[in-house]
Amino acid sequence: MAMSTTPVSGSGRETRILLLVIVVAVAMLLVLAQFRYPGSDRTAVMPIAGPIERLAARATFEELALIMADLSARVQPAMTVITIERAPAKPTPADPGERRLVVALRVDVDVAVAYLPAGFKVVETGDVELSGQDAERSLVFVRVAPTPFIEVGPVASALGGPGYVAVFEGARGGPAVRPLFLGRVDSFDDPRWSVPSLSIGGDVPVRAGAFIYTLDGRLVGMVTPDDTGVAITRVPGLLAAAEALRPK
Amino acid sequence: MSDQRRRELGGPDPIDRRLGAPPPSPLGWLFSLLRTRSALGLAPSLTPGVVYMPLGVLLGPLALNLVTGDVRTLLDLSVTLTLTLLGIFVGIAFGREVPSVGRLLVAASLESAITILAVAGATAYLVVSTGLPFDASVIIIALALGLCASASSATSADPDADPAAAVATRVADLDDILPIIVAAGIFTVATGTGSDRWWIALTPVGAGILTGVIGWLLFERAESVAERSVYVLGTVALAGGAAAFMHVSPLSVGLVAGLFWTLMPGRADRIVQDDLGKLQHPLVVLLLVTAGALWVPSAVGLWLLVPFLLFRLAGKVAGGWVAARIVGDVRPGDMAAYLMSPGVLSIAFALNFLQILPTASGDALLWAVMIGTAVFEVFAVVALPLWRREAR
Repeated sequence: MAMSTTPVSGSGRETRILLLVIVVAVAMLLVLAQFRYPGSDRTAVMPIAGPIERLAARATFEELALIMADLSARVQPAMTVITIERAPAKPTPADPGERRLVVALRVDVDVAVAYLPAGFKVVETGDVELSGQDAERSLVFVRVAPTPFIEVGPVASALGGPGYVAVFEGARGGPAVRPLFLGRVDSFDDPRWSVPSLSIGGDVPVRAGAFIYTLDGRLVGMVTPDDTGVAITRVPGLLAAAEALRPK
Repeated sequence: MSDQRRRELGGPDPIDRRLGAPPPSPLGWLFSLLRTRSALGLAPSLTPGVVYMPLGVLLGPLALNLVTGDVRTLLDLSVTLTLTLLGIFVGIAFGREVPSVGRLLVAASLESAITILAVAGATAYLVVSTGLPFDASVIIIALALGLCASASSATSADPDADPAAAVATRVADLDDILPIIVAAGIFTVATGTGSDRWWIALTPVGAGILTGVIGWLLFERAESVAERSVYVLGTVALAGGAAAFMHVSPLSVGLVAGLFWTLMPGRADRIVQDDLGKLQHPLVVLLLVTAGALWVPSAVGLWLLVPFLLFRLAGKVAGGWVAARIVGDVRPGDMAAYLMSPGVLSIAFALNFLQILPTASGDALLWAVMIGTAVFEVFAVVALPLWRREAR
């Protein structure tokens, strides 16, 4: 390509501009570095599976574990964990009351909905504040630390069995995920909710308050107590009940 | 008019011209009118990022909430394909220029290296000093921001209106090579574990060459244009899919494939360029809209914006200063001014890192890069023509 012969002039001015830009940038950086980001506790770095590792043949359980890890990373921002406690009739140091960690589903920037069994109350902290309660459905509406709102995400319109689903439960560091095998799922009408609930067949080791997702990341609903064990309250019913709790 | 530099949107640039790229459509010509006035400093012109990213934000969960669930999954797929496509175009351009660009390549690589180091160094210092919370390695975050900052498009220049613009345009084309290679290295560090890292570093090269061989064997044997297009699209999908599955950068896989097609005998590179050229514009628009839809306000991103803006400016001015001295015949200020526009590749790099970074870190990075890119695009179009006129 033929280059022209544009004279290179004004190099003194160019150098001055260069130095000025660098000095201003460094000065601004030094000023900003004097501040401390509020609440700057570092979080753990999660390693990512390597490409060669991904190519290698794996046992089915390892595949399931990878699916759980991937699902957890995708779904966790939509949830938070709150603490609930059973208030003893007369608290004593020996019996301070039973405490549980339950998952709350974020339904807006700073509000979440969670399960609250009878006899329990929400432990309010600086970040968690009770905003509404539905004793009949054992639901609470809590104000939580604001975060960029991550939508509830895709919702499963139906759930078949037998097969695996992902269960999200409360843990100290955030929602914990584990696979759960459902032997049978049947739809039934529950007068408490606006849409039919899903009855879980068999003896299923899951506690009320957990959230159920399909393995491809669609939210099924929340586990609630049922007269025959536990059932899954589907998302539309849950959100309708949560909306009724929202302070006007 | 056909020389307006809209290469990232599928329009011809000087390289395309030498390759015999087809003339623009009437609509493209109308758009180019706006660019002419802008290149001469007569009228401001908003660059595509400034138009399509806000459109994406409008469609996303923060406004109309039309991009949800399955749509978002499909958009993720399109991002990978677009990144592969951009990598292929960079590879083809690089392959064509290899025999004649020794000095320009050194200048462009030095310019991008200076910007990467300036932004990455400032970011690492800021993160450590202020205790910014990240769920990823500070070094990876800092380098990722540096790479996003290093991209230049020189779209505010009309190469035929100003000889300096012609040189800056080629420097801007070539300064994408080093960042793509460094990005591949970051993917290796981020996804590799222990001793298999050396093998992982070779994965994009292997995937790119393998895809290149498949395409090279198929393209010229097609019996019709339609059959050939299917082969080309299938090969690009294979390259993107392989990159996504193995957690390596689609840009680097595309770069290797594009380079392979150009350096091997035959017409594979021209076939790919002709067929993919039709897709480039819509896919890049989709990329920008997707970036907008994925945009999440981030307090940490706001802090990252400071080193991005200040040290990208400083890096480009210093890099332009060094590059101008190596290349000659162009004023350092002119070179820096032309390189100031980040273009689409900046967003492409951010979306590429979004695929491997944890959610919070990826969101913060994308937030900072999108805002920073928009600021620099507007700055390049509005302020720099005035600056350059004043310098004369």
